[in-house]
Amino acid sequence: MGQMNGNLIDSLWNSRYARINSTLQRRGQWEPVDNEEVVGSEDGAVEPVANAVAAGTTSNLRKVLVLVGVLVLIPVVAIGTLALTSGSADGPSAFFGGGELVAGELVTGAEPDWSFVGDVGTIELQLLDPLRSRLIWVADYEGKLYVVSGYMTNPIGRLWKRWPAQAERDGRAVVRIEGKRYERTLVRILSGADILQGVSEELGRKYGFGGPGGIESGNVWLFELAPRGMGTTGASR
Amino acid sequence: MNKVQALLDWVFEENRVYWLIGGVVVGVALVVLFLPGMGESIEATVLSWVGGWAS
Repeated sequence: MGQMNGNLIDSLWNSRYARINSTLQRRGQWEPVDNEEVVGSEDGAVEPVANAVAAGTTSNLRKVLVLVGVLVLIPVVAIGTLALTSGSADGPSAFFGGGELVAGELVTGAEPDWSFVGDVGTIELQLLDPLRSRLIWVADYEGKLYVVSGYMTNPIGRLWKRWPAQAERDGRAVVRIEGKRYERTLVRILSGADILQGVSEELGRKYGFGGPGGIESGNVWLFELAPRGMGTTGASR
Repeated sequence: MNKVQALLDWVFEENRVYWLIGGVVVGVALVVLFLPGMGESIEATVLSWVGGWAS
């Protein structure tokens, strides 16, 4: 009876791992290992058990890793899609720059009263060359609009923020503030203690901006959003 | 556990995993492009993460 039970167990055991090894062999994932205990019949249909179990575990680990990779792929593809399509969008989004500002009334004529900008967090700024737009801080001081770009002495900052250099070459720009578009020219401001101090104080009030030292050192580039057609083309003053 | 194993076996049968990856890529791209508000929602999520790390 005991011998019979033993034979039955061996038979079931061999049958089970014969199927495992057969599957692994079909997938090319089974390799025989020297000095391994062989459990099986004399015709060689059944192969090493430990090898089969180890190969199965590795295979499952690989599958789980692939599935984790697919899950990681979802946000990567989503953000990548947003980044790729942002260039053709009407204006920037919260995270990515945008394309040409199209929507919104184009305001012309007399210079507006910019005091309302004191309550505006960010504006959309688009250069004419290239036609790219981004969100940017803004300050008004003595009836004029100013924007700044920081980290300009930092190599990473210079790589990240290319619009200031582009604006220096060609300052023609369009800004969109509260849904209305205004044609302006960016003029870099390098000197003028009262302007630097006044704009810094306004930026400090709104955003906790440092002070005029950053502008004087060149780490922060300050631009005036001057009216278009005043003979300025992005040059400094 | 058997169900998980069965799912893994089903996914990795033949070249089904490649179709799965391709489907995920195309599906996510289509959702981001054509589902209104999805782009803004993703950006808001990313910004909140960044804000959380920065704070």
